[in-house]
Amino acid sequence: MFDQYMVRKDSLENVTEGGRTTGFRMGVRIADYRGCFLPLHNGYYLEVDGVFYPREQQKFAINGKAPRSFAEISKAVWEHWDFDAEGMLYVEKEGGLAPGEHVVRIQQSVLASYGYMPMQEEWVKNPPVPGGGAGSGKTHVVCEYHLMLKEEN
Amino acid sequence: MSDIRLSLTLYALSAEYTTGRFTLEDCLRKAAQMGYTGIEMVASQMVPEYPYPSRAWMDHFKELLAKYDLHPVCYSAYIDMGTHADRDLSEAEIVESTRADLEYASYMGFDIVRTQHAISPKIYRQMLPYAAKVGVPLTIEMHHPHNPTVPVWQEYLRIMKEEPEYSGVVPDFSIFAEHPHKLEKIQAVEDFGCRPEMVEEITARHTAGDSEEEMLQGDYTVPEKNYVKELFETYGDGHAHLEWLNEVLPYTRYIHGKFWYLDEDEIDRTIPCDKLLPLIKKAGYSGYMASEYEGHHFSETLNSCEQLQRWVNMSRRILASC
Repeated sequence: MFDQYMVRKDSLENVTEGGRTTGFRMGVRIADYRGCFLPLHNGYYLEVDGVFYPREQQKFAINGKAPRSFAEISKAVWEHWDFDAEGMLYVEKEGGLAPGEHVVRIQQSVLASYGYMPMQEEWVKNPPVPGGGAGSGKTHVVCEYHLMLKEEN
Repeated sequence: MSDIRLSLTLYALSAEYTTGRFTLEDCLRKAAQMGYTGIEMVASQMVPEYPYPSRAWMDHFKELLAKYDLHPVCYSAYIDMGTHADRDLSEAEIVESTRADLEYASYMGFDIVRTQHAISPKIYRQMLPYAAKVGVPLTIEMHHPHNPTVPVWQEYLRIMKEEPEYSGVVPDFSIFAEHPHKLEKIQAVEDFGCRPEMVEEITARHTAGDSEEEMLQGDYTVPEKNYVKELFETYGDGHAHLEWLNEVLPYTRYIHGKFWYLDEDEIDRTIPCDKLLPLIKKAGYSGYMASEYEGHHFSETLNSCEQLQRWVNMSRRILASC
């Protein structure tokens, strides 16, 4: 659906903490058509340059708060991610990414309901691992972006 | 005497809104320019700080409606059962979120709140006195794959019959869809790798009445067989159950005129509007019918306003001739 608008194309940059580069981040929006309560946001299938980064290495920053793991996000009941708002997907990677262009393959998982179909009942019991299409709204495919790493200031 | 007015669900402009081509005010201005007199809003798409919008924002929104002379028809709400990671929403939580939706909708002057079947018949009945208290009917959308024969819907329709004053159904034309649209066929080829000639063949066989079983035995690739399954799941045997209208129209407060793509000839080949609209008019339905363009699920580059204008022209033409 809005797969080409999910990741802000000029947002990929390394993350430095205490003088050490600990990973990278990118700006993301909801790929579906409406906002959601945060626990419905179930993480990302993410590959960068062919390397897979599981949810355990991902954190998500939204609503002016520090990056949170998806385990923490799943407990942020009633906190809303407004449709218009950009969140930041943080990824742990010691040393960050090399300068230049990177191939990012990504699928977002937001387990919002339309009504309450058997598939969604299953999601409540067994949250799916992102990447299989569950919660990807109308974006059935893993989206590929070619992003330039922002130069460090 | 039927009085069918056309409204625009702003969701139809999702592509423009999401990509930043239109602001909320642009959507409203465009709705007025296209001749719509009412609007529907998907609250969690366009209302900042949903589900608890600020008084200041709601007042601003009311000013915008007045500026463009638009009537707020429908405030569309959701029940996200998975909001807790490990359990369904509780009854108390569903009641609370529905109360909030009704109250905010009332403040902004919306005619109705549209919720979803996940509310459950028990809680729906429980909420109706509250809907009466705030003066905003609480309606439920009937959307594919549901229809009036589904057991939970028979319960809902019974409640609506017994307590008609602040209840109601919003039938979505997806329940009458018969054939795939152009964008779906393009997606089957470009996104899923089906061969174009096979997509045409499968579509023609579905229209001709071949069974799903027969077609799945055909010499098709996996994506093409998925396309076969998709056709039967979405369009059944290719014949709309027009008789379902008789079951929902007595309780209908609003209609979702769903569509995906209309060519320049302004004919909907997916949903039989040429049959549906005369039946709706003949039944005496009075109220708004929304243009619900959903082609943006398939392509965000099409001009939604052009599609909407075609649908409006088609609807006016059909309604004027029956």
